Amino acid sequence: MKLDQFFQDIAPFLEGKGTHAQAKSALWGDRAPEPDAGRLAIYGDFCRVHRFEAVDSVFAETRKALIAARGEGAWRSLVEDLFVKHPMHHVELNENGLALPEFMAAEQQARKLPLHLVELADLEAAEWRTLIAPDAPEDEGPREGKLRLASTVDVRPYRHDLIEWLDGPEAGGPRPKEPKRTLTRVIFWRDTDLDLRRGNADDFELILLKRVMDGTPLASGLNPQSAQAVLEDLCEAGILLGKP
Amino acid sequence: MARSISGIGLGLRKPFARDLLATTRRGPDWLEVTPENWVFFGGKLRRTLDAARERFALVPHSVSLSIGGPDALDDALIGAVAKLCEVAQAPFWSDHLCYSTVNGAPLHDLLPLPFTLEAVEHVAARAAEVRRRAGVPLVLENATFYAHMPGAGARGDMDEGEFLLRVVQASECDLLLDVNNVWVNAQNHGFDARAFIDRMPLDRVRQLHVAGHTPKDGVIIDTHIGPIIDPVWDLYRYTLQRAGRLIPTLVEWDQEIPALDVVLDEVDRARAEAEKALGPGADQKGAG
Repeated sequence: MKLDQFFQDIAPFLEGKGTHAQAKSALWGDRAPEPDAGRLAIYGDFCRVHRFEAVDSVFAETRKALIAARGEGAWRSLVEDLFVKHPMHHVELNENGLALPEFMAAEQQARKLPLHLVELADLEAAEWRTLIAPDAPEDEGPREGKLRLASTVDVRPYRHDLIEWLDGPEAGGPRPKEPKRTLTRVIFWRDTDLDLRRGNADDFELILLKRVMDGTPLASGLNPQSAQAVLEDLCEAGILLGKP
Repeated sequence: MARSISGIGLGLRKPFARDLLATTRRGPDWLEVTPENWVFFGGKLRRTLDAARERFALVPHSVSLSIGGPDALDDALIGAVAKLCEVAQAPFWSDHLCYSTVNGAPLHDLLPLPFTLEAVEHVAARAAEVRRRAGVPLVLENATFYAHMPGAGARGDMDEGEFLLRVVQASECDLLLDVNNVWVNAQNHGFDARAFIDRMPLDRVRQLHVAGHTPKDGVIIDTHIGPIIDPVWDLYRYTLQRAGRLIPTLVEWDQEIPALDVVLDEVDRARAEAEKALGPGADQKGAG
């Protein structure tokens, strides 16, 4: 068997699109040698495990919540179908799973996925992207220079209060079945210790962040003392860098 | 000027990386880094890699090159590893003699090639291209395989040993000899591990690996879960004695990773086994 033919015959099995029996037949016909042909199954299992590893770490909460809501089978089929629609493309394993929120949004109606789980996947993807975001030169000297947003800042709107839902329950207490339905804007950033942070942002904070970004007068039309206090809080948190 | 490696190394893993940089205990003499798990990130992971690079000599050991694969070589990976080699002054980088993509998609596993002359030539041509693009010597590791793949015959056209020898000869790549992989393959396929070592061109071996493994359903799986068992240490000593030098040796522990001290116990054990094989001062008898 030529190498090109070998890869063509084995690929569907490794990608999860063909069965072990089909691969055995394609590779060896009806004279499959043992134990080699039987052990070929090991590689199908390994490749399947890696597809799940590509999402299990970044989307740990989504996985847990979806399995609780829809069962293990729903998670399994979602992940396998994700990689049919969005094949792996990157040598960094987690990068391959980051299409999950987009895929869940596209599949929400067909799979009857609760909206808050689609949003939760988006939140977890944003957490990961923030954590690993490239280092930016403008983040050097966090207490110096003109007032600016940390390069890792991202704000994302949700129709549920995911933060309260994830972080709210008392230690050991049960989490409500679903988060409260309300419009929230979650801000993600990496603080000056390079730790991931995220939390709900209020309108006042968002106005100030936009003004810092646009370079427009900060306290115009706002209570100057309140604006100054919030700016200092945002600097303390590492969302804003420079001198307030 | 490359920073050569010598003695006993350890694979840098996220669960113990920060403890390793902080420990006052004697640690490894050098580190091996899987670039896919570090170089694409900023933040704390980047800082940790930078700190490791400052403190230790370091060699990249990638898992995604797919040197025997059907798809185009990954320029982003080669570029990232070449850059890491440059900043770390690494003497070489290594990957596995296998394939890991199909239809342009990474599978994130080390998959066995058919042991055929066509595969030898395919690997050799791609290895030359990788060296040209990266500007750094490429070293290839013998991988575990659980099944022979078909060539002209149902189980390929040659055995693993001959395949390795031909690849080393045709590709001009030196070898990373994974002693655990030799032992695992010998058990799974019923050949003599020492006879296999005897066939290897030990003067072309730049590095050794030792690791743990896991028996499952009648097959031994190369899990890199420690501790390393005595028969693998026996084969390690045999390899060093045959080589007559301490080939830089890496301890791998990649799953179910325990506390740093337990991992460092394996590093100490490797030093002791090398000394047992080569006598006192074994760590002065070789560099890569």
